[in-house]
Amino acid sequence: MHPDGNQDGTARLTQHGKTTEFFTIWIVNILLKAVTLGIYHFWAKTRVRRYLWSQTEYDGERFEYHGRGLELFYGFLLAVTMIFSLGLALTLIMKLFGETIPWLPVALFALLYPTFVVLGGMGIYGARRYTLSRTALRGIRFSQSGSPLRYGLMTLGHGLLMVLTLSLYLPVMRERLRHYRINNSSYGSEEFSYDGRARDLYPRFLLCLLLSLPTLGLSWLWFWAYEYRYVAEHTYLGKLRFRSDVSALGILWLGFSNFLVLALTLGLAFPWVLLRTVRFICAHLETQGTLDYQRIAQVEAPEPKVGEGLVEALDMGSI
Amino acid sequence: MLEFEGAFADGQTAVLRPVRLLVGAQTISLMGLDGAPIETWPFSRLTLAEEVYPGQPARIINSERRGASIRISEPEAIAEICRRIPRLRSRNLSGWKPSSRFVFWLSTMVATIALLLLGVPRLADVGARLVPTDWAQALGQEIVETMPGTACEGEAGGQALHELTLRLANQVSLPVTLEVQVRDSDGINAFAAPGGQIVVLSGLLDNAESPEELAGVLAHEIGHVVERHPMRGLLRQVGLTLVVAAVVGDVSTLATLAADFGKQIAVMSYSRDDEAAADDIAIDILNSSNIRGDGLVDFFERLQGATLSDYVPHLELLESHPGVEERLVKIRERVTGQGDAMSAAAWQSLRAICQ
Repeated sequence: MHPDGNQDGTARLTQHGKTTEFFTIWIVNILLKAVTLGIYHFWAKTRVRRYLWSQTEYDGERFEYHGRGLELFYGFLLAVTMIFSLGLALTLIMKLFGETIPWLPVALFALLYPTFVVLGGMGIYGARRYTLSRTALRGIRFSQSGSPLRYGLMTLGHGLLMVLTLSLYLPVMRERLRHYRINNSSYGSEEFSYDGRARDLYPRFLLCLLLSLPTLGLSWLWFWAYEYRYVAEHTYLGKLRFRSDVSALGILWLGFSNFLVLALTLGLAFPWVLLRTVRFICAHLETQGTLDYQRIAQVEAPEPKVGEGLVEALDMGSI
Repeated sequence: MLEFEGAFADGQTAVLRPVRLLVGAQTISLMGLDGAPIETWPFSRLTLAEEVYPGQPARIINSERRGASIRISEPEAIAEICRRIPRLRSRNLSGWKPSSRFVFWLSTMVATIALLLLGVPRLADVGARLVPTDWAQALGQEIVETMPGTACEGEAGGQALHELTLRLANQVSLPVTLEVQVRDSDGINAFAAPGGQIVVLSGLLDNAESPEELAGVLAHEIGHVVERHPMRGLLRQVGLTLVVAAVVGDVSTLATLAADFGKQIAVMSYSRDDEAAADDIAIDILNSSNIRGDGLVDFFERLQGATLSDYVPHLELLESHPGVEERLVKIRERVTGQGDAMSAAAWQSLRAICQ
């Protein structure tokens, strides 16, 4: 253990999670979900996160997850209420003005799609904000500032450009969204920063685009692996740098074998697959440099009171 | 007084300070390595921040000190502290072998699911009996409305059907009044929905070679009604779907459940026992009303002799009626009726009911 700061050099993430333990958690979750007709889902999710976080060790200390199932539950209720009210409002508008304005149904329908894109973006950003705010290391919490609405609108705007350019705009869109996410994240008083540029990704992107047909889409794995390594290299936390040695082949093998196992076990092996994927991510990420723990202070930032609801309400959630 | 070594995170900076922990009767005293006192934490405010597994350091938090925590790595220390502070025990899993907990919960889950799956049919049985008749009728009528085709209104045909139904129904004691209708659809099939609602598809009328065949099929469906199979089958389906949906955690399935009732009835596959029971009642009805049983025999023989391709558009009938051979044997043995189901004229008007 290094109480004051890690030595110069590399540090890795160590994953201590055990398959038996994780399976047990999963089974108990299923039982409780069955008994509560599915309501337990939010507590189940929290439990899984708490296990995965507390089994991940960095520089001698394990991550901490402070989230509570109730927070996720309330967030879900809020999101559902909001979407329901939206639907109600739309129906009302249709009833009141549907007769007098003939193009109203088309207009409302046309608005619906972009609205859901924005809501989706807001959900993703809000979910990340909640999860980060409930994550801590050495007693100091992570946080994310910025506005979910802004992120949602960015998603829409960049998404439109993507469609207009027949997805040639993809690297730029991913870069812009990534910039916003990472540059708004902090560990206590220490801020994350990201200085990647889309132009660095274009050569690889165009190559993969050309190769996508001949390789039946597998060239995208190549791009994603490259992008992941690039993002890691250009992310900083104070003087800490990140590195990844993930390879396209590694991802391909992981994805393929996971799929095989799931297919052969009819999905029953999902906990194992999940843990294996987490181990993979941890094994292929390392940091270089030091963090001065004395300088990293707790910041009393406003925390979201409830969990991310949109992600669940729009059925986008996973872990 | 017990003393341990640990680390203290004050929640102000990321520094972890090595400390000495003195566990007293009601409190833990934190002291620096030099013995200088830092804080005192009362047992009543302490909990484990998360579940502690074997090999994992324990984090103790204090509800009065937000952000601060004590970390203990030594397994013996963890065990001892949890022994002294009962509040910490529930999250201390470090004393358990992971495999034994796994085996325990796996067996519990298997037992629970088995219980649920076994219990659903029992509950469905009880439920089918307890559901008030008018509820069942209302439900049955709703379900019938979702079935293919529309109700045929031919007057003469309707009259013939009504008379045949009465004649058959009088041979048994029914829990509910029968309502039989013909719907115009090519399917060679007949269904019984809850509440005594029976639907015969016009395809069956077209395909039947004699009114005795219809009488046989109708008697069979009446058999299902007598035993309340439709309601029971529905409750069973709903129950099982509920269990599966709850296990998977899919809340949306519960919402779409209601919309599916019509489909459930259409593809209802009764167990062999249920079909045999309906057959028995059908045979009794036919015999008591002195209707020739050879109609039913003919119908089943055609079913049996048909190849899949003959019936592919009407596969439903085949799928939901297994074991045709043995049923045929029993029917042949037991039918004694000699008479007609209806006059030739009545049969003609019945076949024309959908025109």
